[in-house]
Amino acid sequence: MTLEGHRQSPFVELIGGRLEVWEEGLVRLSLTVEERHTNPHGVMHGGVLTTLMDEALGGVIASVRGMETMWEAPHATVDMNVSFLSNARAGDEIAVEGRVLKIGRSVAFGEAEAHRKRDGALIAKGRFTFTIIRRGE
Amino acid sequence: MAEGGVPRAQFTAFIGGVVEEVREGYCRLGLVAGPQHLDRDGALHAGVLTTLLDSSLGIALGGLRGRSGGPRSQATIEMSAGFPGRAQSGDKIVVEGRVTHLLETVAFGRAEARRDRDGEVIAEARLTFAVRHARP
Repeated sequence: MTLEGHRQSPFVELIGGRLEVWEEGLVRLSLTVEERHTNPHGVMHGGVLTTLMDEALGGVIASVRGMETMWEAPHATVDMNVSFLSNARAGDEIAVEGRVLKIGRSVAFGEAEAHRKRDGALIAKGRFTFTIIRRGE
Repeated sequence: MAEGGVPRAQFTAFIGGVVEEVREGYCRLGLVAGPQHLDRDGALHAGVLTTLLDSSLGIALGGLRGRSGGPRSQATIEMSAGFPGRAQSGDKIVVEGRVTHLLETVAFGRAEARRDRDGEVIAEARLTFAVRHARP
């Protein structure tokens, strides 16, 4: 499946996230860290990672559920837990991958990892839960 | 980067977050959601909220920095958040962060985000920070 036709969220476009892989069961995003992504200590803000993780997981769940099903009954984040294990600085490239753990009738679970590309270091790991919104039920 | 002497993350400023109040161990941020803050489904992206929740506590901890024994630096190490509500473009979001415990090597805090128009809680979070203290 090509990347064409898989629109990113406006917020991910705003921060400079790039969709690298969209396959059934795997979505990967990447981002080049710039000064605008940092906190007062000069390292990447945790919100950049949680944004990319949420986007990757929303996408990978859509990749398994199918776009048509998703438009009829969209899914939305209800819970997340992220551990920040290391950091990244301006100039670093990071990659965030999302994978599905389980998709049920009303909830879906996924996990995401963020790596620094230059050395492969795992910089964050997250687990997210989504609710599937069945309109009219 | 600084607003009224308060260090503010460049990323928070970049997305439009505004520091409204800082007291000892407390910070309130505001953001007016626009079309650039939305997700694929047209609602406010959860990443906007997690950024503001994290920043509110980072700034609240920074507000303790001048205090004797206050932290010299900190880094978020854990974040758990729940999203009981949603927001749309045009909504103003108010986020309040409170430091609940400041220990030798870690600090804990809670933050919540509300829709300003009706006070509805749309996100709540518990965060853990690794901290380094200033030496006397």
